[in-house]
Amino acid sequence: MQNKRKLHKHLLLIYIIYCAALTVGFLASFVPGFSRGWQSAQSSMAREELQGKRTYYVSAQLLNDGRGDLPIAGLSENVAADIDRLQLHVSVPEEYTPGNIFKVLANSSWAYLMLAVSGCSYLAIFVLIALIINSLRKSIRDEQPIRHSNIARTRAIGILILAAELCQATMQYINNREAAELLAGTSYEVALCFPIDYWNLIDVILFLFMAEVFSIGTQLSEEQKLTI
Amino acid sequence: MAIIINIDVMMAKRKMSLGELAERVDITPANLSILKNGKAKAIRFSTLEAICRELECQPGDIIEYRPEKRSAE
Repeated sequence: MQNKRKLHKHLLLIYIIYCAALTVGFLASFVPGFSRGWQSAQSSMAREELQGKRTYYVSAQLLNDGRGDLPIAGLSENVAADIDRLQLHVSVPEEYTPGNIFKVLANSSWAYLMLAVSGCSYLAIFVLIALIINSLRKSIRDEQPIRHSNIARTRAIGILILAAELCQATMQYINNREAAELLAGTSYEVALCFPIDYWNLIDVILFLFMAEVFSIGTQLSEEQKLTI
Repeated sequence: MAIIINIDVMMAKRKMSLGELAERVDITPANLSILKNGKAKAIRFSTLEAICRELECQPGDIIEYRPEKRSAE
């Protein structure tokens, strides 16, 4: 009983710290960044509307280092620096229309959609983790170690990490393709392979494996409980 | 499930209540109720032996195999 109460308090503390860290992180990084970006986007859109221009952003992963093209002033002689990623701000002589308003990333609405899906997936993961901690806290009270809902949530986290990773990789691939077209004829060579992060795939496998282990454990525990 | 528990029939024959049988068999009434309602996943030989002893019956009198009919047929 004493141990149960201690565990309950411990999980409550983890839950509070997790929620506080999420709130502080959101307020400290997302809110100021979003408001700065919003203001900057509004002012640049107003300026571009007057000039009859449209800007989109392309992030490119380079294959070659491009040394000699962009000399970095002030570097010591014995220090070498490479460029492995380019952030391009591309202006085209077009006006903003409902058809191209979402083409702000790599001149493709798909890239923007992929960004939104991966962002929502990560948000859902944060919410699911909070729900798991809260559910664990309650399950101690009910003397039920792992609930079926938590197994489903663990599986959902694995699937969401996979979805987020695939969306991010697709978004980067669209960016690289657009950059390759833009930089054709220059000394910059863009990496055109599908840039998937295999560590995230390992995370996916681990989460799905964990969910299966919990599922089998719960099944065995239930069978044990129902053996008279 | 194809295994049917007829413990309630034997209890009625012996005019024994659930609480009384649970006490004699030394299991909780809640567990005996799980067994009686067919919710149990398994039964220990020791429990089966105690139930048969108290109800003066054979395991076949309280456990019955009834094949399930397939819905497609």
